[in-house]
Amino acid sequence: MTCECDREPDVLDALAAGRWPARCDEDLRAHVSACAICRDLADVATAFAEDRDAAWRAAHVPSAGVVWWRAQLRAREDAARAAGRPVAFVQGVAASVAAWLAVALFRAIPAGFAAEWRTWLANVLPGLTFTMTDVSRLTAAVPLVMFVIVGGWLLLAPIAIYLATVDD
Amino acid sequence: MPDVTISEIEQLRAEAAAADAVFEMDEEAFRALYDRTARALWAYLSRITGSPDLADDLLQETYYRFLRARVLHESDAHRRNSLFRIATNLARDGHRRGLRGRLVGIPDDTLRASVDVAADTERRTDLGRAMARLKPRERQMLWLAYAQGSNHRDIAGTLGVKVESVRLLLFRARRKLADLLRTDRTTSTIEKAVRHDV
Repeated sequence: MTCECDREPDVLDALAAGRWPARCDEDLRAHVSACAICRDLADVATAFAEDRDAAWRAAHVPSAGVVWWRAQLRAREDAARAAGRPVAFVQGVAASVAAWLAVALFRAIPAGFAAEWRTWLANVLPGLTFTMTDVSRLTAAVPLVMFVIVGGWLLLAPIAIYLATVDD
Repeated sequence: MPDVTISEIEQLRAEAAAADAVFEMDEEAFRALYDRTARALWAYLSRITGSPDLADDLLQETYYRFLRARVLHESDAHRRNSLFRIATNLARDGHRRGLRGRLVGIPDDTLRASVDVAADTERRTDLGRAMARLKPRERQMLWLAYAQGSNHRDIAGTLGVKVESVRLLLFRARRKLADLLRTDRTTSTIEKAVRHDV
């Protein structure tokens, strides 16, 4: 299938120079009326040229200064958001570790005192079915001191990151 | 006028320098580029999305992404192509998310009522209606080729297609649009004749 004609550049040149159709060669006009490819090209390119001019007239773009200012503002917001992402992550980790730490501390308190709390918890949350054995099994693998150190560090880490990255 | 201390002035200077450092391009260079490209880019976005409002939003987003890209551009043409590529991708994403505007904003009744509009306006309406029936890539390709005057290499770069494919794709899109334009004009002429008889 032929999808090109040698006279296409001539048609485009005549259109770009504003010579099409009235002020171009009779030879080119005759060719365009006989050649389907160039006829399509002339029709489409003319329509687009008119539409482009209309669109340019209708375009009310903001000033360069406004676009620059908005971009700066947005860049700062994005930078702040990006800086906050690791803090949020660390906070999430800290929260989960803190929960583990609470369980470990619960395990460390005297049995009699814990039993009273268990009774109180069972009254508050009747559906709660875990026993101290469950908790013991869960926390026995890791020593309590390790829980305290890691948990404490993770709780303090967000503050340390914030102080290190804050502008002022 | 409030007193400003030297340390405050230094702080303001530091803030300004930090803000400028966010982008590779400085404000002066950006202003020059923007003044050369903004109208053409807006026209492109407006026509391929069919919505001037969406074009306004995408214009700002395009320049923001361009500034954040931190790509070293060899020439002005390269910068321009990057802008159009970003704009095309944004419009494509918007189309996928259903943000596309109505490509034909003029209902047929209104068209029928305004038979005496100027010929160029009518042709633009025909083009808008015909464009609405094209695929997004066909619209983008035709606009770049015949409104922007981009060559095949630039079109390929902007649309993410092979340079060798542009020739055939452009030919098909052009033929399809030309057929649609002729059909629209024929229909319009028949309708005018019928109204005249009535």
